[in-house]
Amino acid sequence: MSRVSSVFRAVVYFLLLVGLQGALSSLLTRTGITPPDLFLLTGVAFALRLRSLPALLAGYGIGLLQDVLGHGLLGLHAAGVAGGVLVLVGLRRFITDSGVFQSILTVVSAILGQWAAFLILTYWLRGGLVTVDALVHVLPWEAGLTLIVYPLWSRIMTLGLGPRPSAQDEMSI
Amino acid sequence: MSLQGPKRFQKRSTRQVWGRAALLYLPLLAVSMVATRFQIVAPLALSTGIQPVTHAFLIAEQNLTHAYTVLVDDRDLSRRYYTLRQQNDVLRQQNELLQREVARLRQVTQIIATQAPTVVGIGQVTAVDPSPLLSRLTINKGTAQGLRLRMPVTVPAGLVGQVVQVTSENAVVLSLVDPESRVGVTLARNKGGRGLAFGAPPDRMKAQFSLGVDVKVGDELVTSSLGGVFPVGITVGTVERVLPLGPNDVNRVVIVKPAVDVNVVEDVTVLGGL
Repeated sequence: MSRVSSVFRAVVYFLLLVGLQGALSSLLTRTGITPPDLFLLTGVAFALRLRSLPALLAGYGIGLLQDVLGHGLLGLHAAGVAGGVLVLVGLRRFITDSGVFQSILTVVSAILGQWAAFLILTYWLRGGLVTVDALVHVLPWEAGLTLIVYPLWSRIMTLGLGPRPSAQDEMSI
Repeated sequence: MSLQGPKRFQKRSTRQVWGRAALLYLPLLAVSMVATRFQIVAPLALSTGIQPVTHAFLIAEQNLTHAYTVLVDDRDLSRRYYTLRQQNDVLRQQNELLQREVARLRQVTQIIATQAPTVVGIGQVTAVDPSPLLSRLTINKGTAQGLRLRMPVTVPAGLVGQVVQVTSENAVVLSLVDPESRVGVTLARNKGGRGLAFGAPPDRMKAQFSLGVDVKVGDELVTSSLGGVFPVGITVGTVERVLPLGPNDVNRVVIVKPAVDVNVVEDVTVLGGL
């Protein structure tokens, strides 16, 4: 894959990420359903493809992009996505790149890391972010839908960001 | 040479890797804490460049939603249309029945006002005698509804006949044009004269008047008190032809066209007997 082609695919992937996340948010939110977090899945892709430190920085950057585009609190989703990446960095050696169980473990770990970061920020800001209502109504939908779209989205991520490195490559990460 | 191999293949590196990552995460978390504490919001200009993309996807999403809504609405509309059509058919039927009922009641009111106040009921013609020589109708009222023999049967246009047979639920009406029918008649508008009308099938009557009665073509005949069966003044028919007198005739005979065509009546009113 030439460099130009790689860059082009990455750009197309990010445009697709931004557009689809916005469209899904608009479509599902009006029915009371939390859309899947495609930005978190992109952070997961970085965690499974890059070394630990670049993956963490890339995850933070993707979360920051999500904050900028969503016009929300700067740093909120950045910390969340980076938290998910941090958890995966510790578990990725045990996660293969296929299988239902691996997919579930990947998504659930990332979501747990993200919401742990949200909880820390909620404590820091003295409430208002993660409430019982959010845990009951938002988290299940987000986790469920993210899990459902993960198999399809991981294929799109492979096309856009490149394949996941082999086990031999991973051992050198 | 160490038998343990290069450091990166040792189990310890996982903890080291994660430890280094956690150490990097802490300052990043601190940055987020500061940014969220001071509620720093990114300037709008940063996201302006990406707006065409988000706008395009939003339009696609809106079109999809609209298409789904239209599809669902169409399905609902189709179902509602079918339901409304069924209801409409039922209502049309009910309306038809009610209109018939209203027509009958109007008939009764008219007959009470113009012919006789003693109305027993309204019956529907259920059978007509197929014989060309006779003219009898069967109606769906009988003794259960108060009908008796010899009761007059009329419509607003005029006399139909009289009841000659009756059961509990049905009655046979002898129409004016039946050869056995006998009706006392007189000239309308108090012109006087007393005559007797006989049925002359298939659709006419013959009326006999004394020679002194000046009956002409076009004269209207109504019931008279002769016979004591029919109320006085009910239209019978119109004189169509005056038969020429024979050398030995003592009565003038006229052909009468009945005011009521018994072949087309559906609802008839039965009057109480005198």
